[in-house]
Amino acid sequence: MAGALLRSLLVLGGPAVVPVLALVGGRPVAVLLLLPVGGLLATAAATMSVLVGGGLGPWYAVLALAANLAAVVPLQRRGVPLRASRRDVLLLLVVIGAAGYPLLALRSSAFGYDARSIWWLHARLLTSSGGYVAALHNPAYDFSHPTYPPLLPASVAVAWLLHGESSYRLAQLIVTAFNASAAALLGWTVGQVYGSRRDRSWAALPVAALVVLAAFGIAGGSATNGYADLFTAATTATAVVAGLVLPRGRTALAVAVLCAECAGSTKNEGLVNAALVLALVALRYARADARSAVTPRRWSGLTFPLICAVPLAGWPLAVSLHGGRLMEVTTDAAVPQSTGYRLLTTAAAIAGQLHLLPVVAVLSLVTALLWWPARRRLRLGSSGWLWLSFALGVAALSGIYVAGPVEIRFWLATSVGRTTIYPRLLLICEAATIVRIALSAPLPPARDVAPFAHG
Amino acid sequence: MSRLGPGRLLAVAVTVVAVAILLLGASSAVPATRTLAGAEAARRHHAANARFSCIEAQLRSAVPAGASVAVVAGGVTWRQRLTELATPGLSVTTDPRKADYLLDVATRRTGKCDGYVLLVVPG
Repeated sequence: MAGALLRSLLVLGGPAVVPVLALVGGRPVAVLLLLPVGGLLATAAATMSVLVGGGLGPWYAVLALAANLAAVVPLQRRGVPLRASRRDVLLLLVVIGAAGYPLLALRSSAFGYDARSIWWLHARLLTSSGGYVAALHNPAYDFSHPTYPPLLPASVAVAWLLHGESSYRLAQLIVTAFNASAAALLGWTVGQVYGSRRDRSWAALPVAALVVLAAFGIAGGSATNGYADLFTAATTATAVVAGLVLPRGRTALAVAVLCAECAGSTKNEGLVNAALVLALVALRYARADARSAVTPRRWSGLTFPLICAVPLAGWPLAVSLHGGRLMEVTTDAAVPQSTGYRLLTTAAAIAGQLHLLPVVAVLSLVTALLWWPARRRLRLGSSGWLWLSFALGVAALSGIYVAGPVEIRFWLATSVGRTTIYPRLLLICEAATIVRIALSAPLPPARDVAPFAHG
Repeated sequence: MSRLGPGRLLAVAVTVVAVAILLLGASSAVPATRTLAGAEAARRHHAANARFSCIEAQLRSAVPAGASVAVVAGGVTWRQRLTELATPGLSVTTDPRKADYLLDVATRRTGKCDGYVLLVVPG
């Protein structure tokens, strides 16, 4: 199984090397982006397979080749100088190590219900040419929500096609690898908040490790039993930190866009949040460009995120053209529930997951009021962007629960712990940023408060 | 002590609380199966998955590839599992009249799949 996993990860991450280097250069973060970007290639292959026809395997090969050819020219123009300070290499090793510890659970964790009913059933459908399109029209598969975005099922299906068998254990390992890479990527990105100031950069290492461990802690068993929630939440949170918290820059923008694409290609709520985050990133960069004396370049911070949001519509378009209903859900509410009742029940359930919100909010307010010069000196985005992302994410999630026809108490009981991973990760990221700013707060001038100290 | 003014003390307090939040979040990264409840849940899931794999093997030997099947099993779980296990080699239909075979699951003391047995009835 170890050999099969390694081969699968090579087939999924290998074709992503050149495109990732073209986007972020020879930075250590490139290592953490290989698997997620490989998943995007698998997503594109699944989309073409459904839209145009043909098998997933051939489409994956064609699109992987096309992506690499398209990346050659930008890569040659940009060059690939290795840009890795000793601290950055240590940070990479720390987040990878931190992501490895919770994987001990794989020794005993079993496949979850949704892993079988949704993600791996989708992977089964993708392994047969035409099978997925047939399922879109077949009510027998309504319980499986075949319109859900395909990043993880497509990646698993690529591995199954490679090995000629549909092993659920292999699927579990692959999905867990995606979850781990997303958690490590989040830790890395939060570590970048600590910049490179020598007198503070050491704090990036333990904080980044704690963020990675917190991601696994919040996700609980869903991190290793085949569920897609941690990958969706961590990539969305990474997009927020990279695009709205870190100092504006080309690499941060590229990481934000790639992560938003991954989130939007994994789950429906990820699609909604990815679109919202990309819009906020575009707004932040556009405001900065407007205030800048420099004439906006053609690929400005406004147009790049918006253009990159277009591919998010690929899968929804493909399934819609085949008659798939994007918001189809199973109907099992025996008694109609009023909107007010659903709203109150949803609000209580979500609030019950956000225990850290009051404390983090107070800390954030204190930090913003007292130490905003430190934040400005570090060139970090205003905490308002993160809080706006948080509010929009919670609002979108609430809207999905209120508008859906599934019996609300059952639905919340079986999912709210997973669907709130994203907002809870944002609170963790804000706490990590607060540590950075508090550590950077200017010291008061030294003064002698013991006038008789010297006699 | 003389150099720790109120501003510095507040910065230390904020840092401590924020780090405590990170530690609290990270503390539950312990693999769930280390708790008794987590281990029991994992055991139940493992048993269920083994049962499903056993039923899938019966399905592959009892129904020829490419045939159409209708799942008539009662209970949401078995309906979903049989549909999943039939994919992609068999064609699943919701209309029993159009199916070559009807699929159901029954409990038997002699059932080799942890007390369960697949029932395949020609349509």
